[in-house]
Amino acid sequence: MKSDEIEDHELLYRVSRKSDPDCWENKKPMPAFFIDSKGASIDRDGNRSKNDIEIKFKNRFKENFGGLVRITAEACRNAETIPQAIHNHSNNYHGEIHNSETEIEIDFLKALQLADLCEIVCYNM
Amino acid sequence: MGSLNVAARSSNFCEWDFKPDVLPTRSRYNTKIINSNRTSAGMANNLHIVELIDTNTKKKDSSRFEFIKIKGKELIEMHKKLVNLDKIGKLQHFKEGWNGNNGLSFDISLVNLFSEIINNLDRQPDIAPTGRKSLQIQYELEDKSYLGFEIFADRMTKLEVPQRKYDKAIVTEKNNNFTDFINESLRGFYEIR
Repeated sequence: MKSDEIEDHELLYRVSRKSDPDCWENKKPMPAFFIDSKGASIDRDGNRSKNDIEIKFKNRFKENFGGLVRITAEACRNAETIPQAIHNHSNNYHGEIHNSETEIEIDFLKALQLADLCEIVCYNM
Repeated sequence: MGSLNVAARSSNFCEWDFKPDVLPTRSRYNTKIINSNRTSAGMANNLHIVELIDTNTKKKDSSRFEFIKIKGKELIEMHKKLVNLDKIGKLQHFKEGWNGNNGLSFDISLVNLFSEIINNLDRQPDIAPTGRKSLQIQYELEDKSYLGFEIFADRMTKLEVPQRKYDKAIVTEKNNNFTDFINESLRGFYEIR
């Protein structure tokens, strides 16, 4: 990804490893799905297809692949969260959703909104 | 099992005259109810043996046998409580990064706190671990009204959203008496509607 600016139309993917218990109820993510100690890690689509991204995560987690959702950057902003491009050495598409410009951890209300607004790509729990 | 009137614990259930009944659920577990209808004690007291059966392996958890006195809705609540307690017990085995992201692990004192709260709730919630050492529990109504709590070691956040109108959300922080506070909130959530 060349740009550090995430545009409203971009799709942001969040994956979860399979766990027992998990953060899903009736095959829908609960707010806990977006609550993490360092904001919510996401992958930007970067003009890749949904299928390509799903395959990438399935290859990464293999039998531990638990589920994948996606949400537009615009929806994140409507929930008053801040999607940020944060490159790391192994993943050029990496980003994080933060609670605000100054707070990283997403609060409960915003996590509920993200859970309500996201689209489920794949559920494998 | 607290308010669910556990009468006794036993390993000699084979002496009973079985009449199995299985409650299918969407969770990983089914509840198998073994009635004791043909015993005078069972008929008089509505005693049952209940066990959790893993729907994947079809194996029962032998530590889960309970003689209980139950009927109707209590049975559903009891089943959900057992499932929730089982989920919480497993949190102590979570390692850092358990969710594939930055999920933190849970120490045993936190697991015990969660168990104590869940064990004493008037209604059983849907529950989920978060990645920041907290447990999220939630209740929802048909009109999509939402009541949720995020429980940490030393504090709790209550979130109430009427009919998913986020601009009308009420967030409350609490530092003690978690169980009483949740039960009190439940009465308001279910009774005023």
